[in-house]
Amino acid sequence: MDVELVERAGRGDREAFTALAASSVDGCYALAYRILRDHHRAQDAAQQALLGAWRDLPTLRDPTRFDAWLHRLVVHACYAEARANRRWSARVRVVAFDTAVGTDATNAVADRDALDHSFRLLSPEQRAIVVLHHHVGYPLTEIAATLGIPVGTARSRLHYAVRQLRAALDTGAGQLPAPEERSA
Amino acid sequence: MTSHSDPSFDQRIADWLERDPNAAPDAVLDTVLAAVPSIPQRRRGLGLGGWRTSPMTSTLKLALGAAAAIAVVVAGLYVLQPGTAPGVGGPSPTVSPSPGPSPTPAWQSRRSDRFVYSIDFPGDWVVTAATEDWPDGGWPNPTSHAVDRLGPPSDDGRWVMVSSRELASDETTADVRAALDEANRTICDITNPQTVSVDGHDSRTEQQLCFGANHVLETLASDGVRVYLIDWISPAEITEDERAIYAEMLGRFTFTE
Repeated sequence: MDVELVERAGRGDREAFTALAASSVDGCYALAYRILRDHHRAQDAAQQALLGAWRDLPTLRDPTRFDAWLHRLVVHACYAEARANRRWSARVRVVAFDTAVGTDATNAVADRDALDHSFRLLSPEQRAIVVLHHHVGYPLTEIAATLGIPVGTARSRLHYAVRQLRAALDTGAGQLPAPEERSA
Repeated sequence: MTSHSDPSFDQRIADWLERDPNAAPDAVLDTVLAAVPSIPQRRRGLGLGGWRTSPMTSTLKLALGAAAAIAVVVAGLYVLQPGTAPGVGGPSPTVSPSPGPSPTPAWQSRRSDRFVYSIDFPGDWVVTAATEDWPDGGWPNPTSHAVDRLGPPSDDGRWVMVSSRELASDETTADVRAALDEANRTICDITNPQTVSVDGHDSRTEQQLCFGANHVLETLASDGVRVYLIDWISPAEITEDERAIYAEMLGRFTFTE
């Protein structure tokens, strides 16, 4: 990330923002897709985040933290997408997979499908934290700052999200305990 | 709650996420760039005027008022050990160290002509004076040359920054406060706001954790002519002793115009 580009874009330089957006768009989309699990909605979220970045760049105090700031915009755009689409609230039945039989390749596909099904049972907030931690590689403190929540809440959300994923995979069914969450 | 991490399961999740697409369709960027010309950037509210914010709620006023008493008490707690040599680091011509009427021998005082203030600080601290003014239409980056930097000689990432600028003719302190809140909202967790008196003017001090890495005590002060940003910045959680030093520095801070 080029700090000078961020600073120029923050001063309204569209050429600088074009370069900045071009270098950031894949990351925005990748993050949004992993949270939303939907190509079209991930595109919408990435667009909203980048447009929000253009609009709010003058308020970014520390240009060196542009990437983390943009991640926050993407996550919030994903939340907005989630709120706009009731499909989040629809429980998807998790299909049981018998991993004791079949080839390794078959099992691998089944495993991925099972994770996908289980992940869709998580709330948008839980999804975001799982993706930021396990894909982006953020520590809990960075996640907390990115999402604007206390570290204890981030830890709690991650804990329960992973526990839900495990429960869904272990049982191979959609009957999961209600999401639990505590703030610290 | 204790987190019981399972490395193998964590890796399984990471591997699964790794298989997802990383490249955005071209349409995403095309759509964004096509829309940008029609979207005005948010104004910073600095030197631009035209902003008016909602008045502070009575609840917030009460909370801040109650907290003010705490800050005053804290300000009187810190007693330094006898100081060593004054700071080094080459003050610029715009900032003139002076013995000053320091209440304790361990503190020294200095005055900034560039930013129009006087401040007392621990005697062994190092000072690096600003060589640039508060950036037009923006905020002074703590690591830039637009701030006076005062900190322990160990240079361990802890320091106090001070910068200031004049209010525009059609701008109020509340405008700047609102713009600062907006700027902080996206990057910092704000806690423990307190009203403190800086040279007889009510100001707000708050604690921030920005990007999960920077611990900050920030005060936006104003005499109605200029606004002053006075931040304690630390890579680690700010200790009670450090809070006391900061509070004392605020208590001795004066607008010199």
